Amino acid sequence: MDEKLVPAHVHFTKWFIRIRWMAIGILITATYVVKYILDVSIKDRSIFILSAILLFLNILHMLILHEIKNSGGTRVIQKIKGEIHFQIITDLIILTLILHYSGGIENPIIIFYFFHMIIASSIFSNLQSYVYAIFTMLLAASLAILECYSIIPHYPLEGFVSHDLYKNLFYVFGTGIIFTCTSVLIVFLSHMIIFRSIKTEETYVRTNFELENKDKMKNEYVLRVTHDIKGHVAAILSCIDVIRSKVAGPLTVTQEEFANRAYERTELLSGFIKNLLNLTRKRLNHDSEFEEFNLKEVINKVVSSVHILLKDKSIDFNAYVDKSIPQITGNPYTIEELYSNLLLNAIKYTPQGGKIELIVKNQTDHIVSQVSDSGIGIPEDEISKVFDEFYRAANVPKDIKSGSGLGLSIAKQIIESHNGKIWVNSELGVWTKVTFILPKDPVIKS
Amino acid sequence: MNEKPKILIVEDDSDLVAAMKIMLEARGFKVTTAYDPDEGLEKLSVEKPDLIILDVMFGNKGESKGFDFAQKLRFDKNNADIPVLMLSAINSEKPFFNFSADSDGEFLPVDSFIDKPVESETLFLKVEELLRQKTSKWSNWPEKN
Repeated sequence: MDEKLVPAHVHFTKWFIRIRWMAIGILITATYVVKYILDVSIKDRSIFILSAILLFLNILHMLILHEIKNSGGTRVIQKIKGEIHFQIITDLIILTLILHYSGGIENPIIIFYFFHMIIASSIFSNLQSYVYAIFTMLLAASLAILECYSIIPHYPLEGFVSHDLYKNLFYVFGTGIIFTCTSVLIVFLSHMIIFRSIKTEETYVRTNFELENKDKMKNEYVLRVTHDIKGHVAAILSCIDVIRSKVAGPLTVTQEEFANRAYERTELLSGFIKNLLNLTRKRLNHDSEFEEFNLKEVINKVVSSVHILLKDKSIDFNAYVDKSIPQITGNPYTIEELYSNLLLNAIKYTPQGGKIELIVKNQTDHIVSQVSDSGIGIPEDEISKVFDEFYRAANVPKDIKSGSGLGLSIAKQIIESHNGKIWVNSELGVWTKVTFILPKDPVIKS
Repeated sequence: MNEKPKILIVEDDSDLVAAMKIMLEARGFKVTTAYDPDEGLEKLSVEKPDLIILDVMFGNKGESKGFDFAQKLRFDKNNADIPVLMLSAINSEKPFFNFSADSDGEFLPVDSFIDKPVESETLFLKVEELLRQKTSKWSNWPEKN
């Protein structure tokens, strides 16, 4: 379990150093406020010196951490753990000295000891955490007892609390017992909580890994099966084609009609299988190759490829593509498929004589595109489902047969692989608007 | 062309072979068939076809033996000039991995591609084009003519 925590350790250590900078600042300010504004007697010079030592130590910690990270190699975990030990021990000693110069156990900052115990128990083993608890108690107890029996001087916080508390045995030992109990409880609780959360996280990681594996297996299976089906369908198509093209002899009108029906339906099936294959392949190859390419050219190519379809349905098509659109990074082939998919979808669901608009805008670090159509729209309660595989809205007319329901799902996959976003707005029976954002440089953003 | 042009189909899907055979025969071609590349190589020396229609993948494991066949053909001095029409599943299956008969001849020395499912009109057009061409553009493989 410890071996896996390397990044967490580095993270913790950096975090401690950052907190220490803050603590030093607060310490100096607080001492100043206590001494000169609240008018409480405090050994400010000693505290300032301790702050300076802490400052020096923190710089040292920073350098050591830097060195460990740069040296890399083996035993990084041990080295970082050693550095955390060093930090906690020096912190505890400095805290004890600060307490000594600021009223000893009269000073409520004595509870700061607990923070160190929480930190220690969240990083180190059970045994080490309790050793820290004992070490802390020894430090606090020696301070209290040495001051109590006047072996070392006591510097009272004059004007804060009654200044004979440190000599009151009942108070000193009472506080000591409560302090001890609290320490043990803190170590026990934080250890339990951290241990549990690590266990849970491990379970999540493992489950996620297993799920990904299963998903991959499933995809491979689908790929294989679909591939086989595709071969059969291709053979069926070619065989029917032999009949309907009459190379095997003449047909009656009815025979020809049915051969054509069979051919058309099988063709739809073939397109459906191709889509499924593409989708599954894309799932399996998350690592599509990215390159810099001219987005404007890709869009122009797509627009000219759907031109005939637009003309067939006498659709009023307008494209507003910003002239300033630069080269972007991505997979030009999938991006082409993306625009083509969305335009084909719009054409499919827009009635004769309808309107389609493509807007592509250049923004600071991304491209915003919008395909809107005056088509059949999508029912409000189904908008959230449009990106699901095989989804087709309930209002799709029966004569639009060619939808496999994979178009938007593929589009979403492509956009996600480019770290982009896609969403749909629609008014049923009036319009549909698909908007998507593509970062100009998805690799850096990820 | 006095004699009927001879076409060798190398493809393991017997239904597809039958369909293509009848399509081509209806247009007056003489068709010979082979169900795997080894059989194809044997038929090659006997039949001396004017054109070969070649599949890419063979067998259940989907081995791309069609690539090897095309390369072996170009090494065979007697048959190196026969044009090859490849039945490509590749271009339609891997849309982002487009093969070109002009630029990818280095490892796939074929003259043209036709997508499965084979549609009769497209098949005739491609076949006639390659028969007019007569000699494969990769007959001096690995150099292009």
